[in-house]
Amino acid sequence: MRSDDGAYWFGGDRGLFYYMPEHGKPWMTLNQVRGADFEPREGRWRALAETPLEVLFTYGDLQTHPVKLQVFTRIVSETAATDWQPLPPNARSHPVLFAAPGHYTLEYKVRDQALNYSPVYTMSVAIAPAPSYVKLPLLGSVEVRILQLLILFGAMALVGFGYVSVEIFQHRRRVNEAIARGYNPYISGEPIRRTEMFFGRHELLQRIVSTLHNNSIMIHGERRIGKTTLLYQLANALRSLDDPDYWFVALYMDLEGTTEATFFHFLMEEIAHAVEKLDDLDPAHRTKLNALTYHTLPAEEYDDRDFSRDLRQVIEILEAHGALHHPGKRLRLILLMDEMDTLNHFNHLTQQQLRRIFMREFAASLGAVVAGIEISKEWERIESPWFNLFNEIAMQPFTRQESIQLLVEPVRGYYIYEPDALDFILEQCEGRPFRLQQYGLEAVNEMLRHKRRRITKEDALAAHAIIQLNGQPGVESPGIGAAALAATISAGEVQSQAPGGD
Amino acid sequence: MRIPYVVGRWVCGPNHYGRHRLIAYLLHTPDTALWAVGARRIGKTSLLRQIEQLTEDGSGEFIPLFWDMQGCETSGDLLSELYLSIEDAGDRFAAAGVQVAELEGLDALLILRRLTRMLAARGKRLLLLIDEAEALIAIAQKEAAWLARLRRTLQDPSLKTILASTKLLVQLNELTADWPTSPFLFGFNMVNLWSLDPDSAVELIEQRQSAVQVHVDPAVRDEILLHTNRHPYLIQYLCQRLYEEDRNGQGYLRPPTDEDLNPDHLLAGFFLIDFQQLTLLERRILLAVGERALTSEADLLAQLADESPQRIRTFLWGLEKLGHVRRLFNQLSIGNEYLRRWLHDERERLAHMNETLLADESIEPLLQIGYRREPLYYQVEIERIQREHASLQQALAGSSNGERAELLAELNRINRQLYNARRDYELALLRQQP
Ligand SMILES: Nc1ncnc2c1ncn2[C@@H]1O[C@H](COP(=O)(O)OP(=O)(O)OP(=O)(O)O)[C@@H](O)[C@H]1O
Ligand SMILES: [Mg+2]
Repeated sequence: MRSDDGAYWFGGDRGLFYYMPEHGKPWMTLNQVRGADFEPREGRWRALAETPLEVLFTYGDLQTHPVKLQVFTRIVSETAATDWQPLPPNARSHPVLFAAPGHYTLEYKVRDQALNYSPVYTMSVAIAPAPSYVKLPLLGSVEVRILQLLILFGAMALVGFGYVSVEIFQHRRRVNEAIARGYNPYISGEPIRRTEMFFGRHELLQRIVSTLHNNSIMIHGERRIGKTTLLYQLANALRSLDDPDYWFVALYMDLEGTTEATFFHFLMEEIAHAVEKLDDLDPAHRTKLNALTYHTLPAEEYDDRDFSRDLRQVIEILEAHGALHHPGKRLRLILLMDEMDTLNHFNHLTQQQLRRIFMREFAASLGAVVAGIEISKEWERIESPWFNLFNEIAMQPFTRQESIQLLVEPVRGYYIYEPDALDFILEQCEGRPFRLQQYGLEAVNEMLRHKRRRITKEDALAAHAIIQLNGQPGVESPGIGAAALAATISAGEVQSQAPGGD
Repeated sequence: MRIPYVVGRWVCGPNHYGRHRLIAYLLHTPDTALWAVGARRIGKTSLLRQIEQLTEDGSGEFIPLFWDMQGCETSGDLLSELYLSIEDAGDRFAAAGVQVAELEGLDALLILRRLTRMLAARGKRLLLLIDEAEALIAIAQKEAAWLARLRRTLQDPSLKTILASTKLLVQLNELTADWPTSPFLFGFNMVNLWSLDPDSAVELIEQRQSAVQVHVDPAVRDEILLHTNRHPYLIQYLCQRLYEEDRNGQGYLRPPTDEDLNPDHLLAGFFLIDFQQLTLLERRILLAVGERALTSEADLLAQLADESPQRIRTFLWGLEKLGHVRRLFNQLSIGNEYLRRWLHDERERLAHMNETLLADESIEPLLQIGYRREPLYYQVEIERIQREHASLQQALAGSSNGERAELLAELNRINRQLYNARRDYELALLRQQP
């Protein structure tokens, strides 16, 4: 409940909570742990090992719609900490089960659309050994979930919500419907456009976004390690970023197939098209845009100096537009250039000219993120090399944690991986995201054929056979080109494909 | 989160730290043609851009013009670039009463001469800031006559020229050795560009010139200073990696780990380029110094016994001036931790690299002059600072209460400069002793 002064009142088991949110940052309140007892003297919760627990919380943000908030959690033990992991969208609780006794800290934080993080909220838990007679039957995690739902909604009913049976019924219906419709969310062979389907690289993404105010970045990594996906996600993140001082204009372009003779023309065409698509572009600006040299000069004749002049105009247009629609903010135009390896074959003079443009004074608002497999550092000119405007980031395969996330998250709440299936897939994929997607896709298909909702090792083996048959993964994917560009510069998000969503 | 460090693009204004003494020298020296020489990434472009920003309001003697020569292969390219630069700075010239359109269609040398004359008529002097002057090397090969005329224009005392480049520009002298006048760089007064002074390095680390500052533990700060040896790019590079924010959004730097000090591909690329620009003797000295963490000068001389000690000292001086070698605890050591690691890893390959871009003989005379003139350079600087000091004190004597605080702060700054300049002067004198 929101009070007049912008603060919030929450009802919890331990009374009402008053919370005055900080401006700009999301907030969170940890309410209680189901299945555990609060020990006021020690200030922590006590529970038994191998007992399903559920942490209940509330969170929010002044600017962001609750659905768009993302909760992250990690568990810190006396000796180690897990990675931060996202909870499913819209989560109101977090089911946990501690296998071993000990002292743990559960940490939570929320991220809003602008990639602002809340402070980290913590909760201490002391786990005692489970007495032998409470040994739980081996429950699959969905069953645990339903059990937890029962507990959870039972409790919520006390607080005044009476939807228990409806919710459980709906959850079942949703899973059955998913199986019937053949719901398979994995994306194989294509870069990921939807933020919800993007896993494992959030910290990297965040780091890059934080760097881009002042810098340009060069990402390199093996084929299909996720560079294009990262660029798409950067475009999304930058577009929805609500920075207090900067207005980011992000623009994805694929350099594949660009020829050297038409390079600068191509660049300007991409930039101008994107600017044309801006909402509420002033007609006078449109006219100015239509008068750019690149419209009249044949692509082969259009050189770096023509580009430089046109760019100066475009930046002026953007600055004027920004002054009107994003007052008080500085423009930052970020070119996201994919397949930068294309430039390896260009004359170094062209590369030098590109550097010269980036170094012009009016280009202070221009930044770039370029991605390629191995962007050549060969340099035979005597002037400073073009790549020195960049910071380099090597893209690594996913860690085990990240791999698990990529497999489990898309189907969470619908399907479950059996441990040996998961292990088998992880072993096959060696952290390569495209392989994980492929195995996920094929294994779920196989599972659906048997009208099951548990992914078994047999499914994983069948997936393996299919993938082996279709050739080693890692071969070229079809180009993404113009369609991808259109998708990234349109403001709307692609609709979720999940059936019967909440 | 927003990481405040800038790694890559040139910096100016509040992002530009230090170099106060050098800038004052460049602006005040009566020499009209200057050459700022420095290794890759040391801040040459930033220095020129900073000077441009400091002078562009036209309130002083100069009206600046930045001329970027990279990627220019002919005098025609240089002209286009010059004209684009004048267009970029159109407002500045309009304010000084110069109509840029009047210059269109002219040859680059004519543009420069006319611009100089138009500004002189209004009591201003053109300050020509030339970046990536290495591009002139290609032009010397194809258009020697044009280059000779350019040199005459640049050394015209009615304007001031500051060239920035790596030391590869020395090749110009070789290419123009047979000129009837004198080689190209003759008449350009050389200044070295190296690390930031200690105060400025700390200011950069803590981002003191920015609205939001970064908390840095003194131990972490000292470690950064030690590993980077105050190289501005390396400071930015390392700090960017170390930057984090606490729960309240306050930025701080975490302590560096061993891995943070490994050069990545980019750094390795720059080091290689710098190495290729070293002469054979310089490479021998560098590799010899790199063999151990610390080497005494006597050991070095013994190790390279086939060369004369004086010659080694001269070249060593040059390596120190460019930051490839430093002195730690009165011993010689590699310039910074990244370079040390890179040299260590690449030792085998580097020891067998025999092609060079520069011969010992072509830089030796420059080094000798620089080495010998160094104390004089500081002497002149000390005199300038003393004059500034005297006039500040005079101002202070006749100041009202309102102005005092500011003047005192300024006096403090000048005192510090004077102290540093005297220390540098003493060190330079000491080095002259055999
Ligand atoms: N005075 C300074 N203050 C702060 N940072 C600096 C300064 N000078 C240089 N840097 C750092 O070094 C980087 C490179 O600067 P700059 O482009 O001026 O160097 P350069 O010598 O012109 O390089 P190149 O040899 O590649 O042309 C900047 O991005 C910045 O990180
Ligand atoms: Mg430069």
